[in-house]
Amino acid sequence: MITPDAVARTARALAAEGRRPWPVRGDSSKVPEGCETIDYTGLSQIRAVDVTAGVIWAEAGATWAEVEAALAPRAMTLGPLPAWLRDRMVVESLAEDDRLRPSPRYGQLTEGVLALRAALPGGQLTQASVSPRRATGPDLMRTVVGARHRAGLVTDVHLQAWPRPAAGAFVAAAFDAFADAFAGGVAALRAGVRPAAWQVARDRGDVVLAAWIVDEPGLDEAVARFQAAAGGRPSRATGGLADALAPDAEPYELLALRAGDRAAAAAFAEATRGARVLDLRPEGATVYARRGRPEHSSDWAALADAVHAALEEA
Amino acid sequence: MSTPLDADLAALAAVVGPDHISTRGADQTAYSRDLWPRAQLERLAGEAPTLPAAVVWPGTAEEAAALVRVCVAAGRPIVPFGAGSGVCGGARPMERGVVIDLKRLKALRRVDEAAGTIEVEAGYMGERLERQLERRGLTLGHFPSSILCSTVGGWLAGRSAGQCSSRYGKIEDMVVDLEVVAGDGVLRRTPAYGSLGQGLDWNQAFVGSEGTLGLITAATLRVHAQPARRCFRGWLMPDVDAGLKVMRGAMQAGLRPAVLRLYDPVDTVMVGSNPDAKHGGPLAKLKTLLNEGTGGLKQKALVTALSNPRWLNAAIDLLPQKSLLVTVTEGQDAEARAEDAAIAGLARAAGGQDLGEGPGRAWLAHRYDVSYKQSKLYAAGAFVDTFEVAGTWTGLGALYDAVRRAVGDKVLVMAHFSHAYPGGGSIYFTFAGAAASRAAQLARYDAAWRAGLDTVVEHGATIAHHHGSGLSRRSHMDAEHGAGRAWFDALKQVLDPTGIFNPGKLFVPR
Repeated sequence: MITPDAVARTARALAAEGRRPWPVRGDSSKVPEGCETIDYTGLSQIRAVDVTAGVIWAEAGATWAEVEAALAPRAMTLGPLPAWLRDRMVVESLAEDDRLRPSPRYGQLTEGVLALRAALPGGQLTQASVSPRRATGPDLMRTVVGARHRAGLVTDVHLQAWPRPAAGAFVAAAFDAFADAFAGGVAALRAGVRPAAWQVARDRGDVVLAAWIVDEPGLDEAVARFQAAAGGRPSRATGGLADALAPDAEPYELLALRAGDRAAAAAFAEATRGARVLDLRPEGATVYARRGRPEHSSDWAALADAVHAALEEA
Repeated sequence: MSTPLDADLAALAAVVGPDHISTRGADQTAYSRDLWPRAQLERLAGEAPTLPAAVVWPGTAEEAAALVRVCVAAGRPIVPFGAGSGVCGGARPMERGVVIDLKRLKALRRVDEAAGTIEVEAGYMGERLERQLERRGLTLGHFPSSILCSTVGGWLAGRSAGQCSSRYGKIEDMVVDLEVVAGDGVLRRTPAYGSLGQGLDWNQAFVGSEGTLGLITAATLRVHAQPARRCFRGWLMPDVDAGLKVMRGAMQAGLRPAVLRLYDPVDTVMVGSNPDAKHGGPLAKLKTLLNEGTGGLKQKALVTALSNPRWLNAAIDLLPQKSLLVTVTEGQDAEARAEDAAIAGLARAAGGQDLGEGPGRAWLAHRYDVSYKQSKLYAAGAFVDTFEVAGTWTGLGALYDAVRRAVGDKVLVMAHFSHAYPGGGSIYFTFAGAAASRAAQLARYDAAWRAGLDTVVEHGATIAHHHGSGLSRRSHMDAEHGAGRAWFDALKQVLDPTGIFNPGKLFVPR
């Protein structure tokens, strides 16, 4: 067992030697060059579950599956937990900006962080009030999201959880092209249906929009509303969504390759082998696959690098 | 009367043209403050505000960027200014700098109905924007009570919340991307998907920065179809806790009501929904005094009452604790009706008495009413202010009680709970007080704020939900963020290395 204070001391010692920390749970095979491992196995406990607020306080070395397991006896959930996230540590997901569980109903897993504590490169431990929203300057907690541990090592988080849904249903519609499926999904959103999980992917020649709908006021009515709004051809396929959400699914890696407006995302998805679109909104979509190179470029990344360097130098 | 311009002010004039810069005393005075109530008390106490050296009105984002470059080169502090409706002193000049009023940036650049987005400039006035969208069958879903006197840029700078936030989110939830100018004077657009691959969520860095990291000149925001159906309802709940239970149950069930607004017993009387007020009880008399209390005996009675808040608050505690809960659901017909029915089930189970549509419709009709009675109160020797905080459902009731106790010997205090989320919600406290002298009023005002914010910090809740920090909360920002302030300092170091953007705001300078 290690403590946040111990993480902070280690971070400071590594920074003094010009090295960067990298949290792992035993396996250090994917640690980038120049980084030193910090084993978070001893920092993976569930500290508390607040059933009233639906908030779980977890140490950052816990995996999403471990967090979900702690919620289950209390009839609570983080929402659908797809196979590709199950074994990821919370600290990894935040550092890598895992946007791999987009859910119109529950949001991204990383968006459900109500508060986090982190050890800064200088060894100080941050603190934060626990609140669903605040207006106390920029959202400073977001500084660590996607920073690959350079803006601080997250030690523990407060996460939003939900009552476990009593009922749910898969519904799917087939289309000829990604663009058509996107339009169907957006129409369903605008009809007021917010699936707990959904995906657009190619399945046996069709592009399938598959959704997992839970506990809407009147589940059958919500399913009917989804079908009427989305259009397309009725389909029994789910493009692999049902398999990915199965509790016994084998974990695997999924990458966010490109985000863009709907037309650009549709074109990219058509050209990308094994493309899945999980994050679909009226204004755009994000394309994922099991292999590929993420496409990002902007001078904002350079500015972020400067912010992280300033933190390390401080 | 204008005076000859310093060289850098002349350079600013060259950017915007001579008609769009002013060094006139009247403009300097007008732009020396926003609607922070403490500034009003200071003025009444005879304290002179810091005046800006000049006020400039850029006509384009490119002009705004050019102004920044001039100011950086000259080391002139910049205070970005929208409509001046902030209540925390965020737009108040602290040094003799330049106020950049962005209200000429008022173009609705693009409406993309298919994408459900608009691109709008920062100076666009809120109510006008909503009216423009309504003509196209759209809504932003952002209805702050300041909508008549606030701008899009102001909303973004302060992390504003509208009255329908439980359905549409706060302004930070509506942002797709931003057009900004930081300390290098370059006009940039933030990545549309926040932090994905950028190492940092730039949208969430600029939103809420209150002008300390740069100028926001435009934003792409999500919009929605106008609701086809609205269902209004009022419930008289047995007490605050019962009302909070309904709000929590609705949000955790995944419902998205447009409005869930719970008034505490005092505020319930103030909105006219407690039988005590109708029968001439003591709260009704106080309400009459607050509404009409100027001149002669009434003024004396008001100041006397507010000078003895301990007695007033204790009397309130003995009154019936019934609390009004206003609910509005909206969307497509079936959705709005289903959510209304679901909330009704929760309210009945918690002992609520159905008051029908009346309270909801009354709320809608008066939701932008601004209390111009406040100036009468100040003239009478009293003061009024508000502060809004937020926390988890578990601690919200205790926080409400604790803040009332902490400030109750200094001011009369009431509250409503008006922004609900699955994990918690906000409390909006209103307080009023009085003292014999202007100096004593300022001391009592500061003591009430300090006691309130200390209590919020002690309870682990957040010190601001949607008004921002500005000057009014900066004393508690280090307590709010702890060592996390280093994240802000790093952002500031990179984006504003010369420190000219709204100096002295958000945090107490190190």
